[in-house]
Amino acid sequence: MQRLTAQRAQPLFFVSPAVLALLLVGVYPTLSALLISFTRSDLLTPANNGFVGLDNYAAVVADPRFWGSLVVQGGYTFGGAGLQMILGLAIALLLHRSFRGKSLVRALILAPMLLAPVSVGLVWRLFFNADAGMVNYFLGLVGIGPIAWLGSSSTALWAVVVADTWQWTPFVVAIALAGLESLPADPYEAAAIDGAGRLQLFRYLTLPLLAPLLVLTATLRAIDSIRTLDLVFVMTFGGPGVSTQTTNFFVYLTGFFYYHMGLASAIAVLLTIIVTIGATVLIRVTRAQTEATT
Amino acid sequence: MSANSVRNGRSLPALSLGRKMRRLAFYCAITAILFVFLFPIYWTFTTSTKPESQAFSIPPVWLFRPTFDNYLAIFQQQSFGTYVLNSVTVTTTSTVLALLIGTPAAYGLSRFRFRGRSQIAFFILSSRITPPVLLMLPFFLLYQNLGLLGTTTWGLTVAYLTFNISLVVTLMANFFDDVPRELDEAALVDGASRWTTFVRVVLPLSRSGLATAAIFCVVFSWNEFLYAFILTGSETRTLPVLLTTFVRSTGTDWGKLTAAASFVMLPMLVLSFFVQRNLARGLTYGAVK
Repeated sequence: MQRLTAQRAQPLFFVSPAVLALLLVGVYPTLSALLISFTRSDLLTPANNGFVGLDNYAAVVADPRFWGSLVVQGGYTFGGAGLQMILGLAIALLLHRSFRGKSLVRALILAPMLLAPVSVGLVWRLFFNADAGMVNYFLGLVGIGPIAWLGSSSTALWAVVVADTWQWTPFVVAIALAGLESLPADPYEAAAIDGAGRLQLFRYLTLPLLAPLLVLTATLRAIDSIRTLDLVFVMTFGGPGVSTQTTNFFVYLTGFFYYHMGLASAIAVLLTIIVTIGATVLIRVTRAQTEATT
Repeated sequence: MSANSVRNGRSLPALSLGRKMRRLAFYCAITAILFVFLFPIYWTFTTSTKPESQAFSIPPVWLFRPTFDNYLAIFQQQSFGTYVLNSVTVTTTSTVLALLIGTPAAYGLSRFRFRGRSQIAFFILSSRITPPVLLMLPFFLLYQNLGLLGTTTWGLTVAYLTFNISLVVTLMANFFDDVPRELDEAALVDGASRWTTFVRVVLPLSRSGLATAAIFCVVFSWNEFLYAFILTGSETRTLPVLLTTFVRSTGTDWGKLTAAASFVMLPMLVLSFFVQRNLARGLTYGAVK
């Protein structure tokens, strides 16, 4: 057993306020949520409230709306993150050269990220308005008929994804551009001497070198996308039908619209478990990849 | 090759037509991209100054006489001042607390290799991953029982710490990793304690890192909606919640909405103008770990 000398206690001294704060503000509520998930906590009919063990979890897993919400969540999160990664990388590649106004462009393009997501959602809600919206106006200029974006269950989710992509693609652009700028020049010079073309340089040099950073960025985007329901809240409120009811939003509805707190907690716990596993796996993979290539 | 002309002692090769065309295409692409990302913001500002009748005409009215009626209307709303005060309070307090608590922790994680280090790092990271919907239920019930919902903004401030502390630690730990250890060691050899080394040597060099961490916390806290909606009462609401009050079952008041949205946007845009170099850099720090 090591003696806890003053020397060894030093790191604890620095780290403990944060750990204590997070224990209080993070762990305690998490345990509390876990506890609530084992009870029936219906604020509207408190008569039957009490400990029910795993009943909530059984009910959730048996509910097709839960699985439906996972599908919607997957579409929203991975569709969004995927689109943001592709667009973000493409724009970063475009910007990766010296040109007049580069630093201004870099600064301006970050603007969407500074806005409140509810603000973004409300503005895009109007943009997607079937009659008076900007999207249909611009589409109309090239002859594409008015589309009822938010009124149709086949397009509503994509409208939300577009709003999300508009706000967060700059995030990917900034990181990808920084990544491109930190790439070593030597491999490119050597490959150019060997006669490699632009596409080959990209496929065999740029992509593999950037891969760890891109995977990490995609992971961050996916995690943040699962955490937010602002856009769904103000653009569609889960509708039409359940076409935009992400699992995240499903928790909110169950808990604060229908007031089944126990059920809502159970869904939230399941969602958190899924996210944590996914995030841990991706971070470990990224770390292994980074260590392999450096 | 192309003809060379000499000017100021440097030669300027004349560009071929092909290169000029490609350059033009490039700048067109850049303009199109900037248009896509900036138009909605521009639209929000201009719509807020449009008289109600012109706000939603199709085709849109591009030239008009601006009016500030919408702004006057929202400023005169009774609770507007309260919303602003609450937003400012919660944002500043949460950011300051997160910096005070998180920066030493980041230093500890950066400089020391101790038992449980990676567990603690993962623990701090996990609060960044946790979906707010998980915590909003216990927070709501707890605050309701303690009577905190409508009386104080501390509840919201504390709830934001779950995210802000993690943000500060991740960012600052990466930042400190880039501050050479030799500086620490030089101070320690001279007899300074770890704490003094941290405060007198490392921190002053970390101003831009701290500014970046602060900006991220400020933007998050200022713009956050879910907790602000659930964990507050009418006296403790923040600005993002105000935005949603303009959408009613009777119809949406887009004039006031865009005015309020512009008001919420403006401080963030202005603030980031002063720290834009840090923003982009900070994003990479937040990502690379």
